[in-house]
Amino acid sequence: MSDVIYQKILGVRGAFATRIAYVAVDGSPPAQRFQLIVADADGANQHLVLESRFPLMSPSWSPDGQWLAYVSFETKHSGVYVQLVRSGERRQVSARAGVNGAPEWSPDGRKLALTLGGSSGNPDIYILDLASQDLTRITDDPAIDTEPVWAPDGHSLYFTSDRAGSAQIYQIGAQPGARPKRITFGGSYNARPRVSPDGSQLAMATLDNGAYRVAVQDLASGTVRVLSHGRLDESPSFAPNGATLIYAERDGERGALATVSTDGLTGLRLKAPQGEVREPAWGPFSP
Amino acid sequence: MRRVIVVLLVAASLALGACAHKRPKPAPPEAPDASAGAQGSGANTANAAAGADEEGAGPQAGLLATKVVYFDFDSSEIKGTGTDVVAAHAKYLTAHSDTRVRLEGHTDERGSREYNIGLGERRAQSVRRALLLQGAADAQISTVSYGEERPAVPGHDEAAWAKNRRVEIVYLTQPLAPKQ
Repeated sequence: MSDVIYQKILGVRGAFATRIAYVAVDGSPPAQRFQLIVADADGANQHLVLESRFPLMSPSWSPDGQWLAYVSFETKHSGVYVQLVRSGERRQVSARAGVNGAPEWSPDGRKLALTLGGSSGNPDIYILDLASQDLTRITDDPAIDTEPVWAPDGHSLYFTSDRAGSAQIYQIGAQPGARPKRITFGGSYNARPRVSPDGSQLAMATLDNGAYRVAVQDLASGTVRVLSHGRLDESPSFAPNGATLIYAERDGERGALATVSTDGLTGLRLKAPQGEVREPAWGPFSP
Repeated sequence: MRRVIVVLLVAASLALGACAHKRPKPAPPEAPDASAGAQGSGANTANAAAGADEEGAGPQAGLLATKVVYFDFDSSEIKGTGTDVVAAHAKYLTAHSDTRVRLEGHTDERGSREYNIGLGERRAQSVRRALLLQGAADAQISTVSYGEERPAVPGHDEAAWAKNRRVEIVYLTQPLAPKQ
């Protein structure tokens, strides 16, 4: 049995003042238990945010680092929830018919971009204003459109769509009627975008010679660099200084977390508690 | 001074040793099993009623005992024995118009998780359309996609993946309310 030890993440300024959220899973299919956990970036101070017999997914930090949005299947259907990490206070913000998924907080902290499928079962991107509950539709297409993430200026979203026949990443203005622009062109599968804090780099999961790996694309030049080396790497998330990514990989039988610098030169496996961990989300610098 | 430090180190290592063997202390309540009631405009509260989503065994005769349909990679096409299984359930639902089912769509573990929610939904909708075409009523069918989050079998090879790319047909115990 592993001890609860995390290696230091080297070379990241201020890492110990930042936190990560991730999902931990106990047990074997078909009977598993799910936990949403917040910890310091150096692994100390693990805090259980939520525990469930049903899947938990897609944790997303608010820009002030106080809230997590996530997906829970506790009603036997998907729902999007927001929870104040400090107190545990939570509320359900979307439990519409069909898919409710992929929440991502806007840079101003007032909105969530999310995926809604409706009863026709066609996932599209929407923006939900948290105060007014107004819902704005952003994509309207028979393809699977999902995994929205905000550009740092809050004016556009990057998202995954298979409208071209397989999963690729697009950018679209954050207003109704905007037309998407395709961003990824290399390879047959590029999904799950995340944007660096300075807006210049796009991290993604990519299919690279039959293996699912983490890659970074320079948005100005279009150059793509594959950073990880596993077969089932996924869920990259930028550190708030943009120099490191945390992601999930498969360590033999178990899911584990690892970091890699965006220049690809430094990588670390994080030792995790027993069970498996997935879907890391790196929180913002503390105010 | 040294004695004090030794005591502190021993106390710290005892605390760490204790922590290594149990889960972090929970602060918030466990997620409730039933929805507390959706909030927000347009939210569908129809399935928040207690007991509305309870599962039963459903019919067992012949092909009806099979309540899972499998799929090829990256496909939502029903084929092979899946076609016969769906036909049998469509016939049953047509004959028992107050019976409800929930179609649960799944994928294997490859690819990103939320995109796989979309693929699982596509599979559930494919089975739903086939049931409707063969006589079931819209009100009898609900769908959910679990993507890759609820595999049927563990494992990381094609043998396991083939068993996880599926739609499960789950019979619900609470019947449809009769039409007024």
